Amino acid sequence: MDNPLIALGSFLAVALLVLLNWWLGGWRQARIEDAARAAERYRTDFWNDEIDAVAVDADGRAALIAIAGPEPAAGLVVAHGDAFVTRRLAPGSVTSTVLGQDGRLDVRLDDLVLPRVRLRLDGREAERWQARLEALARRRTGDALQGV
Amino acid sequence: MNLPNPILYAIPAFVALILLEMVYGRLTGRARYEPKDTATSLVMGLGSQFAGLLTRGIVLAIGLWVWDNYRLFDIGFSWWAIVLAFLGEDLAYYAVHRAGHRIRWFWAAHVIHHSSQHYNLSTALRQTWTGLLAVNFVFRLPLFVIGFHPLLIAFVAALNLIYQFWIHTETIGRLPRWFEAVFNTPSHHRVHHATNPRYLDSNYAGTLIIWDRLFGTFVPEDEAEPCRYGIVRQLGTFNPLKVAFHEWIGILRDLLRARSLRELAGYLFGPPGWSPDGSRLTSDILKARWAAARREAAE
Repeated sequence: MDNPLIALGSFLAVALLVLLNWWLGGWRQARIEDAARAAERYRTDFWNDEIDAVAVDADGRAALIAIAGPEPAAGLVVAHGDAFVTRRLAPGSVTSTVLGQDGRLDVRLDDLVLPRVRLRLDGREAERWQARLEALARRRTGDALQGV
Repeated sequence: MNLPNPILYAIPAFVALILLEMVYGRLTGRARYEPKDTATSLVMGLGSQFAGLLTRGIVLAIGLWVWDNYRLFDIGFSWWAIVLAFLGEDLAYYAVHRAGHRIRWFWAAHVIHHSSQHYNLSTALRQTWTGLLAVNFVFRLPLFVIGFHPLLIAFVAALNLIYQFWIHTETIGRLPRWFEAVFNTPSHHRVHHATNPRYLDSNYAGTLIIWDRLFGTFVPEDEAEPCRYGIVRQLGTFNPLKVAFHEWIGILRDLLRARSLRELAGYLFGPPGWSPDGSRLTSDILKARWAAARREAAE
């Protein structure tokens, strides 16, 4: 790699492979079809949680999961490329929330690799969820829940 | 003795095989590629080669110093020395790889390789930029003390890495039994990359799966439980800088709030996911919970 020609060739090869991947197609942007799918995906990672309710973003890009139990917690499923990322939000995991017009809920997380999630929910549902997430933002404990 | 860097010669083959797998996957559906994921993997691979340019000299210098001053034998570069060096390096790889999953300090460098939710040939190239920072090379120091020349070890380590390229695929099922018994294969390595609790922390082998069989870390692939790839806490970003450094930043943040030496040591050298109050999830906790849930379901 200390040879400039090899370095240049490697850059070109990377560009070529990514372009070819784009051109060939065959992948689909992940989308959450409905509440059942969101719950199913969340349960794959957090099988012990009892799910109370699910709110799915109007564009299918994310879903919020209400978790039953004595401790306040919520779940999150977010589309990422053609796959999904899930999080269990414990007290302290949420940094802030902003509710905009048309039920647009902007959730900021204390999470370097998933810092922000945006959802478009029904107006009242968005307000309910903002209140629930704000409670998680206020109840900061020593550690945000992190996995391996 | 001047030994070539085999990885440079292998790069054209890597590109051709990725291209082939991409087309084959499109035609048959047996391989999954997503452009942003592919781009991230390849950029990480490119970055690791550049990082290697900066760090290889340092590691080699340390290796030569140990070999010059402390070697027990002068093993040389004969054919049997190459075979022995390969075996020794493969065992050292098993050790560093196992540490890479069980000790957070080493995991911070190795997590990069596991950070894709895809399992294809491009994933093989998703390599760390911070191997020197993690001091992974210490696991190879005993080889220099025995008397293997650092250049010979660098050569066989490169061969080992090249071997591991082709096993990052879903297009190959099981291979003949004798081969699966001795060598690391796509089936064994799929298990290693899986996040299913039953598969966590298994199959650390580089080329020879015998080390896992010997040290009790071998888990066979079960067709009834398809592998789900990536890490337990999947990344929500394709940003190469975040991919490369996120766990190091996580360590730093934890160290800043450590309240005792025990906590400091736990955050640095405990298993990934360790926390003083046990509120986070280590792979051991996950496996235990999964086993308990299975028992409950069976009753």
